[in-house]
Amino acid sequence: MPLRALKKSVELFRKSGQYIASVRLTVVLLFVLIPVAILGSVIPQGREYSEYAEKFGFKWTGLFYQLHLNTVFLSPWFLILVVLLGANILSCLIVSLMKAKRTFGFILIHLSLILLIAGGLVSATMRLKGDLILNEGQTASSFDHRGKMIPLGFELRLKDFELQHYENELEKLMIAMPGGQKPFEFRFRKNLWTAIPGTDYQFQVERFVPDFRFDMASRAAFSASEEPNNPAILVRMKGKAEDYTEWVFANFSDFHMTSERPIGLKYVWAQKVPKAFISHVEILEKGRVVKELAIEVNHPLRYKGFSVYQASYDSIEGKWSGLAVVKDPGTGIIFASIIMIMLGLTLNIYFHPTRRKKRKFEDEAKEPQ
Amino acid sequence: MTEAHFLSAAFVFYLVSLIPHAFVFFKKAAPRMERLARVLVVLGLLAQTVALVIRWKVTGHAPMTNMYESLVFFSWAFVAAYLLADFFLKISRLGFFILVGNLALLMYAFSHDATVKPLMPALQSNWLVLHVVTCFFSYAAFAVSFVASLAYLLPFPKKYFSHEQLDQVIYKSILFGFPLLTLGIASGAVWANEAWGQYWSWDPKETWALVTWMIYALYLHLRLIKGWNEKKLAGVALTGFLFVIFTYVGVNYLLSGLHSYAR
Ligand code: HEM
Repeated sequence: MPLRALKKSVELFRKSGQYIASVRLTVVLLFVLIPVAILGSVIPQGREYSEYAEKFGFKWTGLFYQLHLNTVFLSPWFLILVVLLGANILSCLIVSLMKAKRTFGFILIHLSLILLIAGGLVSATMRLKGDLILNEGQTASSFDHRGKMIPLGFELRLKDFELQHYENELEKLMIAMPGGQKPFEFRFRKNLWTAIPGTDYQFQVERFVPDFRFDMASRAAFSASEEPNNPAILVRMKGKAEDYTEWVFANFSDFHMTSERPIGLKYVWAQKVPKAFISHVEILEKGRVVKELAIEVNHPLRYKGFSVYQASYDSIEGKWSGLAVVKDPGTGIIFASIIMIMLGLTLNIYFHPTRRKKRKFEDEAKEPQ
Repeated sequence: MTEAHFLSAAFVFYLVSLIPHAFVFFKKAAPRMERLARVLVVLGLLAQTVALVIRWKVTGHAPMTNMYESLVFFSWAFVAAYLLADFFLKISRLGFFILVGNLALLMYAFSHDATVKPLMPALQSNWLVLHVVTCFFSYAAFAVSFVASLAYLLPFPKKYFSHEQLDQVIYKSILFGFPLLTLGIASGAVWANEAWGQYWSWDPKETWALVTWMIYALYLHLRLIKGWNEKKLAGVALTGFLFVIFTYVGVNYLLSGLHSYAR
């Protein structure tokens, strides 16, 4: 009976069309997406194979790779779920528009979600990002996006990198002069001569190393790491008759003085807290400077569709700056969707406080009572 | 007087308000006790507001940048949300439980380091205030719905609570909180784009905030489905707030990521 079969399939088609536009499907999809997202937060994402193997063992790691659990949010099955949700919302919207039974707020909210998903897909496929490590004075005109060089269309030169710290109120140098009065306390800055009151001595701090080591062969001090394991400063003392330098260690914090060095020094170290990382840059076009500005965290540079962010820096010498260059056409779509959803939510929720006293059901007609 | 003085005063006001709140809970009609309870809570909230203002002045930035500050702010928003809900929905019978919850919250806050630390560069942004205020106001509204859903699900004798009213309290507080959570997450995305050049990175805190948001969206849509009675919905609301707590506190301890400002 081909006619009956046809009827049946039409009915099936109609039913599945109904289902794809139903709140029931929304509920099912959310019930699936919630544990999926949790999985993606519990399993660290996008790490190296060896890291998983060490943490979870080879068996689990193999399973993770097979099921894309190491990159849940980029996996095909996550994409399918999101696209299904998009189709669900879209058909729900189409139905509501055809039957004209929804508020403007409802339309805005659910339309914005489509936009949100679209924006996310655009970002996932079209976003360009690369890192620029620039020394002071160095210029870049392109960046590396996954092995491909992308031209900027202009040149970016790092004029100067500036690392600002908060006033370090706890770090100090204490100086005990021979004669036994109370030792002096100084807050100091590098390479700044300071007079010691009541004496004809002055001092300056010439070097700081966080992890002091001494190389016997070259007879030079160096820092073994960036960690403050053994902070030390090199203090230069200048008096009428003498002029010498001396390393002072925070970890050996007693004044130590000898008969030929009767001035006691003590170094109290405290963590310096960075206040700002600032890259002073110039933009050049055809060799001419067209713009000069500063890139800071929370203050990116935007130029010709690219955004340049302060991403990292040389924490030892303060000579290079790490910038991130981004071009993401999805961002605008996302921001538009944010404005839309907020508008819709405000209209629908805050401006209709008394609208619903009783529950209204979406599946009233379809449910057998 | 310092921040600590005002905060202690607020704590005492809230604590003392438990007495009239208990009366309100056990006796059906106790209008004088109700008024007394409300006055005490308002006084507490005022003292706490002054404490927040003082800290803002002293530190020079919005007091929302570490666990201690955010917990105190959360408590402030919780009390404000309670007063608001009481004004519109008449929920003074829940007051006792809300105030107990709030006192616990403050004690938890006091167990954290309250010293003022300089702000790291990423936090120096005007988005901070919008992001934190919206997130915590939504959490506060959800906390009210949580207390209501507990009252719904715990086997209280019928005379204490009307289930119909509790369902409305749960629903209305979630409805109130949902746009705020949306704005909280959205402002976070805008800020992340400003600071790191990426509006979403699936870092655990973000993912859990999204999961929480999805649970409350789920709640709103489950209400549209006939098979879901109010008791089950109260269960979803309860679960939703457990997700809020995990997003706020649990993630910091158990999952590492960009948001690990707090310990
Ligand atoms: C993750 C996806 C979704 C989110 C975040 C979302 C969000 C919302 C929000 C915030 C409301 C307003 C709450 C209210 O007015 O009661 C709402 C209402 C509603 N949504 Fe969704 N929605 C989603 C998907 C869907 C889908 C796919 C459908 C249809 C199949 C749908 C159908 C409805 C209906 C019928 C209402 C009630 C409208 C009214 O009361 O006038 N939603 N949704």
